[in-house]
Amino acid sequence: MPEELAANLRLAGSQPSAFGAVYQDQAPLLFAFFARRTFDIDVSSDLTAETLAQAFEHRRKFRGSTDGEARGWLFGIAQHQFSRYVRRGTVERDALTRLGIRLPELGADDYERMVDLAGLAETRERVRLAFGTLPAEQHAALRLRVIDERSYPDVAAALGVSEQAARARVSRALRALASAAEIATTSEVRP
Amino acid sequence: MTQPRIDWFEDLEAEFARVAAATERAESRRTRGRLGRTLPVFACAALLLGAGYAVPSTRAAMEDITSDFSGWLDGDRGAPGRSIQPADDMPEWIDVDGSRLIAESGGLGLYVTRGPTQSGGTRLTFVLGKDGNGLGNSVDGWREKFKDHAIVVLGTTPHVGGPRETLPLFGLTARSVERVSLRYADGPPLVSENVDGGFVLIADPQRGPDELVAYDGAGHELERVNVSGDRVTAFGVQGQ
Repeated sequence: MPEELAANLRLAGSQPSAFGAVYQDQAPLLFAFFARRTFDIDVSSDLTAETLAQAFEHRRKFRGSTDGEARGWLFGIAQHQFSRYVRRGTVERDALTRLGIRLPELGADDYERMVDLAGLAETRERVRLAFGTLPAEQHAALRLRVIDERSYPDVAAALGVSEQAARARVSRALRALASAAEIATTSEVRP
Repeated sequence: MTQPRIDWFEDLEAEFARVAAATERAESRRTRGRLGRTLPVFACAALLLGAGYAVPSTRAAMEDITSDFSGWLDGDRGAPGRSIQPADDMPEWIDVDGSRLIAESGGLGLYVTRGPTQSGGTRLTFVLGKDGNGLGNSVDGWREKFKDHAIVVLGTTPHVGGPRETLPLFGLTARSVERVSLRYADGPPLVSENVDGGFVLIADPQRGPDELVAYDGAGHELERVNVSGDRVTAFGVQGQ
């Protein structure tokens, strides 16, 4: 059925139970959206739940007629939640609390399936391969700083370069890995 | 594609279904209660109308924000902003034809699109930036929202690709508004001059955004909106 998402979202304004169809359609996509930005299953599940709770609370404010508008509306809320998370470092549960929604526990089986759902295994593999192809000086700097968790003065001393040069190598290496990860995160889950 | 069963999603769906059912029951009870009170409410309204109502003098000078768009809806005359260009950084789902960019700042645009409602009327959708919300309503619905306001905050959106610590504010203004000033708890205000029906202000959340104030061409204050704390949401300002 064309524009089914928009129709269900509008219908939920007068019949709250219609929100169930919106949930089924969009919850996995919202989760993938967050997981590919946070790389954290727990945080992503919390952000997904809060986004859907915000959407439920404000469902009457959506009056679009196309699925594109509906996705734009939902992912606008998601972007807002993600921005707040980045700014504050914590996931807020305001709407979940107001609605009295209890968050389910994440089981071990769920955890693995959610990693698969978000394509994180593929992204990790891309990052691993990209790590292996970094120039030797960047590879060494990133290993010391991120894997061995050494301070920048330590990294600089170990490599025999200035601290500024060590920082630059780590920065360039991280940009290369981020670029590799981005290849796996484009457009698929964007509204 | 069939996805593997994930208990967490199903358990959370059951929670939403429980809340939706409770909401439906509560709204049904409220509707029945309202019907029972209809006659007394009509009686009170009749008394109020009979006694008359004095419009505050500042509001008498205001123009309905909806009137900003009436010329455009009637045939592209005198609409705020400018036509959208293909090069504008807007959401992909906005039609270039017939949509407008009302205001822009820091790479974020406030757009408006129009389309038909299911009942044959006209729907206006205001779009906050490339990644923000599209807020849609019928013209009559917006008229109700804008009634008696010189300035309305539509909401905020993440500034994707911009500085992390910003709070973009999107809003609409009546024709009489020429200047919008965002007062901070700390330091000088952020001012937008020569506004034309709307504004995008890239606020600094670290300085404590406090109030948005709308002024006319003579410098008279028309309206102020409290934007302090966490009042600004993706859907507007709490209390407005």
